[in-house]
Amino acid sequence: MPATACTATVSHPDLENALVAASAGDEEAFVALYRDLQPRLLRYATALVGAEAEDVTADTWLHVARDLRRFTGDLDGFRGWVTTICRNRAVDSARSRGRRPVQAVELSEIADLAVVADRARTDDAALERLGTDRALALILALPRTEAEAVLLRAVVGLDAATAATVLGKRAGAVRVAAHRGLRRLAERLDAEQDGTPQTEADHAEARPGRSSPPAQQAPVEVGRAPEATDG
Amino acid sequence: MAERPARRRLTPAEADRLLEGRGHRRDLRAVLDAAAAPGRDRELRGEDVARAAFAAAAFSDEPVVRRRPRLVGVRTILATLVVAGTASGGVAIAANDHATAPAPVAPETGPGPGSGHPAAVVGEARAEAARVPHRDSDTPLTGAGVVAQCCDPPAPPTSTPRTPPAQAGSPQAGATPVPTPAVEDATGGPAPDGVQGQTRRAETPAGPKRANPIGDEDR
Repeated sequence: MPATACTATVSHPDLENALVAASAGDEEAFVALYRDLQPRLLRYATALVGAEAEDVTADTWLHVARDLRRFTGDLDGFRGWVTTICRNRAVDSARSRGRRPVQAVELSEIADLAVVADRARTDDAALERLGTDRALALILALPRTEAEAVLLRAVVGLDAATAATVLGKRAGAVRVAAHRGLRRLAERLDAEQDGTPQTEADHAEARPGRSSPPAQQAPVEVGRAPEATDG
Repeated sequence: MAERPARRRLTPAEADRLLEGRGHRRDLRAVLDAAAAPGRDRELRGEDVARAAFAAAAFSDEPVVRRRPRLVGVRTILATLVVAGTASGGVAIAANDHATAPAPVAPETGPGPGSGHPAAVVGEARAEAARVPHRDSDTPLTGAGVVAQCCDPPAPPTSTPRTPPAQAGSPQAGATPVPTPAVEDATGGPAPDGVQGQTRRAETPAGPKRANPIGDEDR
């Protein structure tokens, strides 16, 4: 069962049926799959390549549109397949950009803005109003490995095994990363609710790569990980 | 900080539940739900393009969609040149200085998919002309014939009949194995991503029923 944290407008069985129909060439079924997955995919790609995420996902869907008729598998497999393509496209995009660390800086800035904006505002009422962008910024403020694991599980909707395959890691490693990410996120929320917002030093600790040389934060470094097949 | 309520401790089990869309921690649940909220309009701006690509793929057995216009252009130019040469009794016949002039040839003698330059295509045609059996030698060289030759659909490099992708790996094919990159290459077209400058790709659509379905997609 996938981690369907998203309150999808289309039920899981309907999407399974849509996948079968789309594989047979049904255009409307393909659109249903697109509407379900594209927002999640875009948010995940944003974590990898920032502003180029839209181009990356567009390229991903062109590939999916071309090859979907040859796809064999269920909805989880489909999501994993599409996410893997997206991730590879993101890696290509990062490479073509010459490893410029623009993305890392962008993400850090977004995260800082989110922390400032949310500080002392994470009461229940504020959480109810929590916007998607702000929630994503909170997740993206996590160390990259943890953020990616959380995004794949809770946002894209992959189960642990599929997320591990996408990342080219063992399922246990992805599970640990996601747990750590959630724990760190919980600590941040706790601290803010207790009125003891984390300091910049805490944030730096949460994002150890930020003070590191830019090359260590470049998203392409993330992209290279899955090339080591989990096997 | 040390007096943090115990209820805020996040256990691995609770973390798993949260990741699966459940869990009781309201604050974390709110963050994850918001992050995974349904798509907004601006996140679906590419829908029309994706839909068009899906519709276009239905009309093409070719895994490569960007190569066709270029080949058509080359064929058009070549056909024009050859027809003009034939009409004037000059260039085309002189180029094929064999007594056995190349008649309209079999599909497999069409321009190879790897050739893009007109000179290269002409060279291939001349080489092929030398291999054409004599049964065709009495076929007159006509402009229409040459045009037909040039405008035939590109044939695979081998004489193996082309297998449409839908038959090669569609779910409807039942036990038909999912096409591997090698199978795709055998169908005559270059690797799909080669057109896009990503020749190292081997992204194979496959589900979790395979041993490592997504691993194939990685380079």
